[in-house]
This record gives sequence, C-alpha cells and structure tokens, in this order.
Amino acid sequence: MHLLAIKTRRFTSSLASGLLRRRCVSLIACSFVALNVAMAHGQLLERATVITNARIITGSGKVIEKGSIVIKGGRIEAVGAAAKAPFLSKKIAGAGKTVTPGLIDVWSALGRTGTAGDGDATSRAQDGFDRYARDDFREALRNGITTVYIGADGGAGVNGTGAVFQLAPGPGRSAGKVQKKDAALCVNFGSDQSPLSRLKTFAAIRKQFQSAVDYRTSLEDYEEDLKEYLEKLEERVKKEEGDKKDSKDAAKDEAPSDDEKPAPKPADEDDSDDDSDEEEKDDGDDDHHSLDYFFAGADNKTLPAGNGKGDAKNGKNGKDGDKKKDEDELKKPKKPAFSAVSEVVLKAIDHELPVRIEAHRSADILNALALADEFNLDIVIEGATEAYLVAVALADAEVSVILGQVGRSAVFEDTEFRRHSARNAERLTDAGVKWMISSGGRDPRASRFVGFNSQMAMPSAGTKSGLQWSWLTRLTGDASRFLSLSQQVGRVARGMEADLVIWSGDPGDPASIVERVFVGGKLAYIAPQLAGGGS
Amino acid sequence: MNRRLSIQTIIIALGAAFVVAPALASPPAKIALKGGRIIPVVGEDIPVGTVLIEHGKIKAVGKDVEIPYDAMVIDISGKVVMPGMIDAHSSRGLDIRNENLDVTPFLDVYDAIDPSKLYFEDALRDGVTSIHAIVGNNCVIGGLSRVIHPIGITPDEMTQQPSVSLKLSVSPQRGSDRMAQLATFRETFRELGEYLENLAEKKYEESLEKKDEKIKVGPDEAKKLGKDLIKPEDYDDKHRNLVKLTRGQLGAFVYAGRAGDVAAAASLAKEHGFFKRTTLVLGASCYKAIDEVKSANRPVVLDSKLLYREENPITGKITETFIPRVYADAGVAFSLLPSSNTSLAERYLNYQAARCVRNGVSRQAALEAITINPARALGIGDRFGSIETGKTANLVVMSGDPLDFSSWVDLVYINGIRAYERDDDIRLKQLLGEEKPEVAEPAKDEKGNGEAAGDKAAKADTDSAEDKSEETSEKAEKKKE
Amino acid sequence: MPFLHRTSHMLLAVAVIAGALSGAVLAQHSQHAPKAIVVDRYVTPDGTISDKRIITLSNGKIAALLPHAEIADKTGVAYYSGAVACPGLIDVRSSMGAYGNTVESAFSVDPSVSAIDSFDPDHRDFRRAVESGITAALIAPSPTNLVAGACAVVKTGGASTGRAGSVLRDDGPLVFGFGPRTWRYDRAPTSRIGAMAMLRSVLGEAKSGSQHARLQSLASGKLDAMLYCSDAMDVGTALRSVGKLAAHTSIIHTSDVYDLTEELAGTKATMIVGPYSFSMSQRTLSMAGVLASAGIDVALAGQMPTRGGHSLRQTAALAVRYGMDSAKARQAITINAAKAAGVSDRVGAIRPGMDADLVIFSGDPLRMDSRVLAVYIDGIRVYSADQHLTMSAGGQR
Repeated sequence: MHLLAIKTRRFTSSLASGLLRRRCVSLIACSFVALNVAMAHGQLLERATVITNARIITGSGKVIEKGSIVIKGGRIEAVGAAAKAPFLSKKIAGAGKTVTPGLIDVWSALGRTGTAGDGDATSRAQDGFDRYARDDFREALRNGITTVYIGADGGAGVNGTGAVFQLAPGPGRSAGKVQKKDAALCVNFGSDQSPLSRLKTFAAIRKQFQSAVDYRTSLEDYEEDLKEYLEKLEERVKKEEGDKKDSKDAAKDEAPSDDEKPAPKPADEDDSDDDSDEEEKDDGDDDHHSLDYFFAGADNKTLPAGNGKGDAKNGKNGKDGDKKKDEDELKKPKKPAFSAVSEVVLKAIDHELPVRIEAHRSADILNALALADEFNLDIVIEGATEAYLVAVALADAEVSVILGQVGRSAVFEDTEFRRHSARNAERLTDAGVKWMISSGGRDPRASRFVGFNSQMAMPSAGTKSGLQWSWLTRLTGDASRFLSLSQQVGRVARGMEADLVIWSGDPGDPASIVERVFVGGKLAYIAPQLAGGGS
Repeated sequence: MNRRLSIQTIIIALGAAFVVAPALASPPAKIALKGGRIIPVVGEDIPVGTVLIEHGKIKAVGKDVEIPYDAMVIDISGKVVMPGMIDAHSSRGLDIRNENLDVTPFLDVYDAIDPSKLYFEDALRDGVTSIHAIVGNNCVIGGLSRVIHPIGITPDEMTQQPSVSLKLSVSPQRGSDRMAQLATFRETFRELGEYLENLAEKKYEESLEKKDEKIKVGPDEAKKLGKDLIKPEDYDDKHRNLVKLTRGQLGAFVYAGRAGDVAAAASLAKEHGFFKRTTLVLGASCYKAIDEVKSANRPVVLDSKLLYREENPITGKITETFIPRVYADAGVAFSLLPSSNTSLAERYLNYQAARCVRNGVSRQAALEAITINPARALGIGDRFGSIETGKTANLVVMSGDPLDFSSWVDLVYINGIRAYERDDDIRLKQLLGEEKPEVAEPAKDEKGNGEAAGDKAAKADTDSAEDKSEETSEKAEKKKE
Repeated sequence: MPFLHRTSHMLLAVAVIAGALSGAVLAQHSQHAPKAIVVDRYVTPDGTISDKRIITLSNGKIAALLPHAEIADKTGVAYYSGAVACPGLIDVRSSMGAYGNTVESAFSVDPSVSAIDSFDPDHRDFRRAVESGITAALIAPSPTNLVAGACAVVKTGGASTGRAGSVLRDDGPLVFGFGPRTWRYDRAPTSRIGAMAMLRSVLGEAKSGSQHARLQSLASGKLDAMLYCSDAMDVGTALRSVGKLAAHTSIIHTSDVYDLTEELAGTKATMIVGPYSFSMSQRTLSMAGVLASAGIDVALAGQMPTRGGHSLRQTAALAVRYGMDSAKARQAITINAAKAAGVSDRVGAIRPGMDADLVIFSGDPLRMDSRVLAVYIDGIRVYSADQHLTMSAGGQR
C-alpha cells in the first residue's frame, strides 16, 4: 500500500490538469481494485500472511502463549507477541489455536515408488520419489508432516543416497520439492536373514568400502604416474627441440642449455592456442628437417617407423645413457576403470555423506560400529531395535540411532524385531545415547503418524513437568538439526522457511485437527471443514 | 501345441495368399478414387471428390479433379477415403518384444520383425498402413525402431523408414525401481563420454603414428586434440546409435509410465541433447502431469488404455478420467494407440478415435491422433498421415464414416498399391459366415474334442497367446489402481 | 441381560485372595489395596473426563465417588496428582493366554467349544496387558467355523501380578464365522450359499430344541452372539440370520461396512472395529468415527498380543484423529467393549457398584503420551510404573 501510495502521488503530481487528475483518480481506483483482485490471487504482489494471537510452540522447546507470525516471501518474517501485521496482509485468526513448525520424519518412505532392491550406491532417492503420490502427501499434511527424509530403499547392501523432501505444492497435481539431495549414504544390513547370509552381507558391504579405498589408491597412483609421465614427456619434447636447435645452430652445439631455458618454453598444452599451434607447426617442420639431417638422403616416406624409434635411440645417442633408457620406457600410464559405486562410497569415507546403516539386531549394530571404526565413517543406526542391548557401545562410539515404530508387536515379527521393546528409547536415554524418532522408513503410510510415534517413544513423557513438548521438539528443532537443515526448517523463528502447522488445539491430543499447513509459505493444506467441504 | 501350430501355418498361408498377393502385382500407374467423401485430415473434408494417385503418390485431391484418360478409375461413391492410419508404437510385429538386457542401443528391430505375424494382416484389415515397429517398454535403452507397412514378405520390403528412433524407458519394469533405472541412464551416458574421450585419444595417437611422430602431450590434451579426428565410421556398434542420439541425429521414443516419470523423461532428454527429437510415450496416469507434458511441448503418444479409474481414499468413490480429453483440453497434440488385446474393440484405431469424440474431444483432433500426429511424431509427416498432393498414397477407403463403428475398411492402398480389398478377404468372410472354411481338417479335429470349432476360435487362441504378457501386465496395472 | 450361567467362575488363587482375604489385605497393605484413590480427573461412564474425584473402594468394588473435599481420614488413600482415572481397558479381540493351536476345524458347527479351555492364566501376555492398562479381555475361539463356540471373558490380573485374574464369563458370546475363512475345501460348507443353508437349518433345529444348549439359548434370545464377518455382505447375512435372534449381537473383523451404516443404525448391534495400525487407509481409519456418528455402538479392539500393548489405545487415538468423538472413543475401549463381551454389569465404567478395575493414566487415555501410572484390578494394585521403572525390562518382550 505504501508503495502504491507513492506511485500514485508521483503519477498525479506529474499531471497538471485537474480534469485529468480526476480522471486519473478514477483510473487509480480501478487499478486499485484490479490490483486487489490480483493480489488475492497472489499474482502481482505477494501479500504477507499473518497468523495472529496463537499459541506458538517454536520447535526449540519454547512456547509463546500468545503471539503472531508474519509470513512473507516463503519465510517467517517475524514471530512473537510484538510481531506486527504489515498493512494489507492476509490475517488468519489464531486465537485458541496452536502453531507448530511442520513435523519432520527423519526416516520415511512417503512417496517412494516401487518395491525396489536392485540398485547400488549410485541409486538416488530423489529418482524414486513419486511427486504425484498426492493422496499420501495430503494424508501426511493432514497430520502435520511437512518434511521427510527418504532413503534409497533396497535389500541388504549399499543401496544409494537418501534425500530430504519438503511437501510443498508443485506444478499441477504434484507435490514435493527436493530440499536436500544426497543427504546420506544408505546401507542396509539386511533383515530376516540366516546367520550365514548375515555374514556374507556384512562381508560384501565391508568389501565395497574397502574397494572404494583401493580405488582411491589406484587413482592416486595413476595421478602420480601421470605426473611423472607428463614431466618426462615434457622433457622429451624439450629435448627434441633442443636437438632441433642443435641441428639448426650446429655451430653452437655445446651451449644449448642457456638458450633452451629462455626459449619459447616447452610449447605445451597449457599455453594459449595460437602460440602453441604455431609452435607445434614449426616444430613439426623442424622435426622433419632434423630428421632429414640425421638421415641425410633418406626418403621421408620410407622411414617413418624406423624414424620413430631411431629418433629415440639415435637422437640422444651418446649423450646420456640413463636418459636413453628412460625414454625407451616412457609409457603412458593406464587410468583405472571408473567406478561409479566407489565414487559415491568415497564421499562417505571423506565425511561428505553421513552413512545410515539400517541394523536391528545387536550383533549387526556392533558390526556397524566396527565398520564405522575401520573406515572412519559418520554413521547413524536406523531401526536399532536391539540398541538397548548394546547401548553402552553406542554411547562410547557416540553414534546416534533413529528409532522406528514404537508400538510394533514383537510376537509374530521376523527375527529383526523379535526383541523389540517399547522402552528402547528410555534405556538409550539412560545410557546417554542420542536418538531420533521416525516412522521406520519402510511403510509410506506410517509417516503421517510419526507424531503419535514420538509421543509413544518419549520416556516418562507426561509424568514429568517441562517435558510436555519434548515429543514435538524431537520432530521439529531436533530433527532439522539432525538433518543439518536447522537454518531452513524445524523452528518457528525469523528467517526460517515458513513450514507451519495450525492445530485446532493441543497437537498432542488426537482430537485436535490440523486446520492449515503452510509449506514454504504456501498454503499446502486446509482442513475440509474450513475449505467448505471440498477435499 | 501342434494343433495350434498347424492352424497358425495355415492361417499364415492364407494371409500370404490374400494379403500379400495384391501387393506383389504391379500397380497401374494412375488410379482415380472417384466419387467418395474425402477426409484429408489436413484441410477441410470434401463431401464428394476425387483422389488421383500417380506412381504411388497423391497427384491431386479435390472436388473437380480432372481424371487422366489412362487412369484406372475406381468408383467409391457413398464411401469415405481417409489417410491410412498410423500405429505410432507397436511391438506386435516383433517375434520378441523386449530384449532381456537393460541397455541395447545396438539392436535394430529389423532383426525382430516377423512378416508372417498375423498382426500385419489384421493391421491391414483394420486400415493401418504404417506401423512404428519398436521394442517394448521393458528396456532402459532399447534398439532402433523403424516404420514399416503391413505388406511385404521381408522386413526390407516392409520398411518405409529405417532407423527412426531409439527406445528409452524411464519407468522401471518388472519389479525393478526407478532409482536403478535412472542410475543406469547416468552410467550409460557417462560411459559414452568416457568412450568418446578414449576414442579421441586413440585417434590422436593414431594420427601421430601415421605422421611418424611421437606423443607430445598428456592424455587430457590428447583427448581434446583427437576429438575432431573421429570420423563417423570410427564409433563401435555399441556406441554408434548413442552418439547419434546425443547429437540429435536419431529420434527418441521415451516411455514414461507414471506421472512422476514425465519430468524425469524430459530432463533426461534435455541433459543428453535429444530433447528436440523426443516423443513422449505416456502411461495412463501421466495425464496428472499434464502441466509438465504441456510445457515440454513434444509429441505425445498415449497408452491404449484411455480411461483412468481412481478411488477416493475416504469415500471409496471411483472417479473416471478420460485421458485424451485432458490432453485435448490442454491443447497437447497426441497420438492414439490401439490395444494389443485383439479381443477388445480398442484394437481398432478408429474405435479409439471414436471414443475420444464420444468423450468430448473434437472430431478433428481425434482423426489427427490416428493419422497426421503419429506421422509427425515419427518424423514422416511430410510423406504420410494426410491426403495432400505429393504425399505417399497410403489411403483407406471405408464403407462409411471412420468414426462410425458400423463402417468397414473396404480398400487399403499402400504406395498406391491396392493392398487390401474386403471383397477378397476370405478370412473375414469365413468369420462372418459368408463362406465355409476351406480347411476342414483341424475343425473336425476340434469337434472331436468337443471344443468350439472354426478359424475364429483358433485365431483368438493364437492371438491371445501372443498377447499374454501384455494382458497380464495390464491386469497388474489394474490391480495397482 | 439373562445368561445361561450367571455365576462367575473364580480361579482358586484369586478366589482365596480377592474373596476371603481381601479385607485383611486392605488393612495390611493399604498402598496395594487402598480404601480410596484420589485423582485429578476421571473418565465418566459417558466417556467424558470430569474433574477431581475421590473414588472409594470397598471389597474390590467401587463404593462411591466423592467430591474432593470430603476426605477426612487420610490413611489408606492413594494420591495421584495430575492423573486421570479410567475404567480398566477391555480388549474384545484378543488371543491372550491362548496357547498351542487354537484353530479347531473338524466340525463346521461346533457350539460346544469353549475358549476358556485354551486359557493359560500364567501366560506372560497378561502381564504385558496389565502394563498397557488392559484389565479384561474377551478371548474368542478361532472363528473358522460357522458356529465356533463360546467366548471367555477374563480379567488380566488379580492379587498376584503376572497371572490372570478371575474369569468374568466362560460362556460368553457364541461365535459365528462368516466369510471365506469359514468355507473350506475339506468339509462343508464350501461356499457362502452353502454356509447360509447350513446355518438356517442349524438355527431351525435350535428353535425346535434339537441342538446344543448354547444354540438353543441363543435361538430363544438368551445368549449373545459375536459375528465374525469379513465384509459388508457377510454382515448383512449375519445380521438377518443370527442377529435377529441373539440377546445382543456384536460384529467383528469387518474391514469396511460403510454401505451398511444405515442398516446397522437400525439394530442394536455393537460394531467392533480395529485394531488400527499406522498403515491403514483413511477409509478404514474413518470407519469407527462414521459408525459412531451414525449412533451405532462402537467398541474398539487392540488385538493383544498379536499387536503390541499400545495397540488398543493407538486404535482409539487413530479413530479420534479420523473423526471419532473423544468421549465415544473412551467408551469404545471401556463400557462398549464390556457390553460386547456381556460383562457391562461388572466392568467398563467408574460407577458405584462396579468392580474396582481402574487404570491411572498420567493424562487423557487417548493421548499417546499418557503413561500408565498404576493399574488396579478388584481394588488391588497390580501394576505401578514407579516399581516397574526400578525393575529391569531386559529380556522381557
């Protein structure tokens, strides 16, 4: 509006005639109406959205009992009791409502297509994400989920890289925006395997890391060889030039070293095109001349093969025996075959990618720790069903875990979950192991209930005061920090992406409904009750 | 099995007799199809007019075309003449639809075309004059396709246009996943780059050798220097077609089975330089990605399944979407495909077009979808797909309107040659009971077994065996939905 | 509700402790058997949560609900500040304590089967049930037969923890199996129409007095029926055949009955819905809410121990998130479940005269972050979170 007013003033002042001015006012009025309509559709100018007088749970453990949130440009512009609504902003009455950051499922299967399992480290979760799984996304939003980490699914082995997605509305009927590519290297220690195949699985995984290390070594060796080769090559080229010079300036044959150094350098590839080209041509000509010189009277055409070798042998004849030998052995080093898998695995070894290892049984978890130790990896254990049995080892190694579904039954499950305990989290807490809670990464539909899952996981939640919102913090501020996205999502704070959920009441009460969800400042979900019945 | 085989042999023999024979006869130089309604597809319908064919090409079209004295005049009054229909994507003429390897750009459907397939006879009877023979959707990168017509006894005779396109699929098939599919693409094109670099290096070294010189530069520089030394014949079989693809010298038919695959298909094509030559082959649910399809602005070939059913997750209500309508409303030109299930009416391209009209697509768009659109998608729009002067005389004369389902295909001309004539279609007559089957033995045999006798049953039998794999995949897809 | 055998069968140990010695136990260990429990809030019989009450107990029964101020003698009073008292939860779809192969399929009409016969009071399931706040369970015979036998309704604990308590009914609802699981290839019936013909003839015989006593009392409206139906079509047939005869009917195991909502609203049948898992579709999760809104009695089931101990409350929470009224959801895991099991005169509500089977939650039982603080069965504390926390749960499953 301010902007508009200024423009208007400038416009009107530039007009002298009162008549014109009057006409202009009506024109402005018209344009104002048009502008308003346009703004309502978010086309012309983006209007700020303000959620007023709501209880705000910030995601970092703080609660603002009555505050406002200003959303503009996809981000949170201001938060707090003092936050003022900009003029002409769109207001959403937040009285009696609770606003939280969008929930984050740090190990999800939402939107994952296919059953998969035949990939390797080169698979990428973003390739498997179905942006048109609209119903599933809607369900997730309806339960307050806005961000999910999707792993590269697969069987036992190194399965590829995971990615983080934001459930932002996309073009057409699609949704989901890649927020972070290649967020982790996904390794699965297999499930429901016989002890023998477990051994094989682990050996195979270990081998992949080992061969990545070997691959690097061979690459480094190659680089070294190549450097040496290039040096020698340069030397040889120089020498040839020197020889040429020798032959040209036959009189000065004993003093080439002085000349050579300042001379136009070993006309090499790195110089500008023009120079080197010309130089090379010259060289070529000279070369022939020099050859002619050496093999006086011989026909160029009949001698090429002999010349090549002869040059090496005869050219340096009697000058330096050692060098001659070197020249003979000047052999182009062979580049090791490219390994796409090792390239990815090396990123993990270089700490560019955290490694997520799905392991449930205690023995597997210990194996994972050993693997991390051997290759110096940043690992996180996914699933970690029996983590409570090896909690001390996890604490010592400072490895954190991501827990799956707390409420699963242990009775008819396969061997991975046989020792499932709903009190896993509690005992990990006691042992000082850091843990995150998720939907378990296997079931696309479970992701929406990660909130309930977190409530179930919290040790002594509800029994101690002050821990009331720890389940929520775990899924927002803690989760974003865990995914290294703490500057983007997971908190209601100035400058963060506006991923916000407006709950009708206490988010921990199943009777509360999600009324609106903003993702990246855009309204991604509105409850059918508010939207007027349409779904 | 034996019985089936013998029947098939007989059927093939029959087919050869009735279908191929006219093709082999040398055609009259000039033919005038006179008095019928002309649907040129490009341009206005002509209620009564003449199409003049000369030496296999359309010489003139119009209301008052002067018929040369030496032309063979064929009176088609009361009938309708339209361009031969074009099947934009078919693997039915191949002995095996899908090679069992992921990346096979070195293959050519030429080696798989089985001219004795009943399909070709059926295609002719159904008014299809051009078939884009292409491998199925199971590949990551399949082989070269070609456009053929359904007459001829060798693949060479049948070929209208060789090396039309490569088949690519971003949608995984058979329980594989898209992540692996796209990873395979990445690896293939990376390997191609590596191959080209190595080839350049080799060429550089060879060139030095020829000049009797020694290597002066390191491998990196050699790769740059050798780049221009590569001649087209230097590429090996494995990479030749990929090189052509990435340089836009080959078309690409890219299959996207699900909505989410559309963006992947487009970005793959863009990244590797064949986007401008890409035709999107879209599965049923891809209509959801209509925005992305539209902005890609590439020719589109739709799956033969035109109806998409979706269940509301809460109410359980089923909503049906007529897929071509979505494309038509968005202004996207599309080609229709016939179903490969021969027991359905969807096997007829004109039926598919008629369904479009019934569901609100304009008649013109529907007709284009079975003629000129596929021709353009195949890059043969300048020669086929409409009745225009100068184009190849691939024509279908129907007893009535092509979108009226009581109309028959009466005559089919391919390259100006009369390839099919209903009056001579003995199998059709047998089917309709107008003529007794000439081969009685197998029928008797069957009666002895208490089974339904006749060619019809046998034909359905062989066809359904042929289509088994496709049918099951269709079922699986239905199940998924 | 008239039943065949009204007297409750007590297991010996329980009878001794809870019956004869209960007075003595009360006096000696007041924290195990308090005379009154003070909580901030409690779940009323209509499912709402009411404010501060004192629940006085006497002889294993709830004696009175008193306003907070009226407590004079503070000895033998258990205080739970901030907590919510809830009637003991009841799982009506459970195989707790059943051991071995419980599928009996020799005869398709086998009313003499009693689920109580496969019941092991020392089974560890009961301990886990108690920890989860489940104080009673209905154990049904495997519904693979057209007439599958009688359910048992048991308490999950008594004076000694880790052991099941009294048997509330050993002649609970008679189970009828409908749907593909009942039709077998190796004995009749082999199809739906075959099953219906057989059922009609069996019920006809029962009316004329020539069938098993349980069937006879069902046919004369004196026994409850529990109908296992796999889809809406089975529900229709089951209601029209057995439902119109039985004293009370509950329908269980049906995944989708949206199309029958109106028909069901016209009957007094209880729909047993659940268990709900995180993997279910919106449609399935919405069913409890839709049925309850239509005025149909809904009981929710947790299917302990096939599902974990959280299952019953998780089912309720999911039902509420998908549209079920909170009060109705609380009823669905307490009083409505008791009705379906035919024991609503004994358990399922906090009301004077009812058994003192109580769960003390840290908050609303529907909230998944509420914890079970203590469990009382027959007025005796059988579980306490404080004590549990000091115990090792290692190796416990």
